[in-house]
Amino acid sequence: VRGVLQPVVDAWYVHNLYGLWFLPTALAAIYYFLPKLLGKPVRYYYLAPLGFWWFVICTAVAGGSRLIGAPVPVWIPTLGTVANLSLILPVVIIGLNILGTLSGRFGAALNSLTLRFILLAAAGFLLNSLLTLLLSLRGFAEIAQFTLLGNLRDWSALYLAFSTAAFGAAYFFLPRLTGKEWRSAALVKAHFGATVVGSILLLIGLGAGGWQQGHLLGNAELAFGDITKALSGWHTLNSAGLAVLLLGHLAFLVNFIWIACPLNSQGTAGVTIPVPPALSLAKEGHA
Amino acid sequence: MKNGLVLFLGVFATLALSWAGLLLAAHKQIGALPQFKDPVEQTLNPAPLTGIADQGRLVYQDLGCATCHTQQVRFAGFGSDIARKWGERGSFARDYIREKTVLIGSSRLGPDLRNVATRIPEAEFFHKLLYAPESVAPGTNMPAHKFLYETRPLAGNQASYKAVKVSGKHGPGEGFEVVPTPRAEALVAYLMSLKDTYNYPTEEKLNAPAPHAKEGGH
Repeated sequence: VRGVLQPVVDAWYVHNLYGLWFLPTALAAIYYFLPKLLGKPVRYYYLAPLGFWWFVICTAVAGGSRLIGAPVPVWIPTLGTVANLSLILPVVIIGLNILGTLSGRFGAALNSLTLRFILLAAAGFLLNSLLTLLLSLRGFAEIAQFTLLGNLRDWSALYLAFSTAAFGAAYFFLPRLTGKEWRSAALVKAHFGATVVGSILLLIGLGAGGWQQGHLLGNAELAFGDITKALSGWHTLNSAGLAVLLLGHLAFLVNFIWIACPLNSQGTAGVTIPVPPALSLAKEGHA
Repeated sequence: MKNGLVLFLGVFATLALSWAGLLLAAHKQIGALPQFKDPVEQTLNPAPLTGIADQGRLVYQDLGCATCHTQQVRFAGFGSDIARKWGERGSFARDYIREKTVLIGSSRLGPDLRNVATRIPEAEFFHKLLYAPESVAPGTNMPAHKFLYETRPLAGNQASYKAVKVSGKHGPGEGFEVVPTPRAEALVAYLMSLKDTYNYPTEEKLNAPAPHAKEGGH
């Protein structure tokens, strides 16, 4: 593989890694936990397979959208743009399924720690889909390409969707696997709070910072050094966001070591793990 | 899993299809681009990298320069790349066949480097930039690459002819000199090779804006 074919392969691989591994894994967790913990079937169950296959097929050819304006044959980014536009429908289906399942049970969802993380993952999925679509439109890409908004796109898939879904799953499964309770409720709260705060800081820092960076780059009169100076505040904000996330991870680590350490048998007896409410699937006609 | 086989085959078919449709098709189209022989000058373009510049490309890759620097000039009318004098024209696919690894990058925390040698044709500038970025680009947030340079005492001898001319607060101090290591020399040789000055007549029309469709035309 020589020449600019390498960036094409790279775009294909990276886009599939995010779009066909991290995002669907997060989606799987969302589709698993929402009905299970709310005791309610997925709202538009019959649309879910359509949404899934449409999503997978279009994402697989959407990688070229990362190469708008790059020295590659124009059909490659154009195919990506078309695929991303046609991704609107499956994303709407998935969004309807998430919101439809949540509707009326939002309070219950906020009471469950796992579902709070899952809600973040759902927000991350929808945000990532929106950003991927916007960044594949030429007018938007002209400004936002090569800026922090590109980082925001990848971060929203990898962290806001995938990692939070994984954390939510960990909070659900680990007590059931080990038969122990989380040692410290305060640390659990700290982890979730840090995830929310850190994510908001990064959303603002990468989003607004990237938007400003794009406009500054577009102004050819402006010297590059001035752009760097204008961005330093946003960089600080992003570092602060990442630091807050790190604190949350440390809180999780302490709790995780406690629950996973085989030497610690304390708390094994007398643990009451809440049983999820039963699903009432019969009237929907599927199982 | 109930539909495990269907799922596996479906996803496999999807990936195989996108691999064939996107990558094989692109490979067939641009995978064998040859050098272009100028009909008048009889030169082959793009010229291959020199040996030391090719080593420098590996250093560029090693140090992750592509994290913050792109190497792709967007065409006139799409972004301000041309107005910023990052190149005289948009980059063509053929420009990149001389590089074994193509690092077009995806972030512009730093300026585009595809034609950096036409903007700044001095090796000394790059050495200063790498050793002490603030000495030539005040306010930059580029990290200093002091590890690419050796600081050694002069001990009364004459300074090396390779010594980087940095002084004052960025310099190594009185009685010391800063000498580039082979990695630094290779990297600078690579940066000095970054100039796409040849305009391929075969590709020129690709650069032109699309002709305006006639009003109401079919």
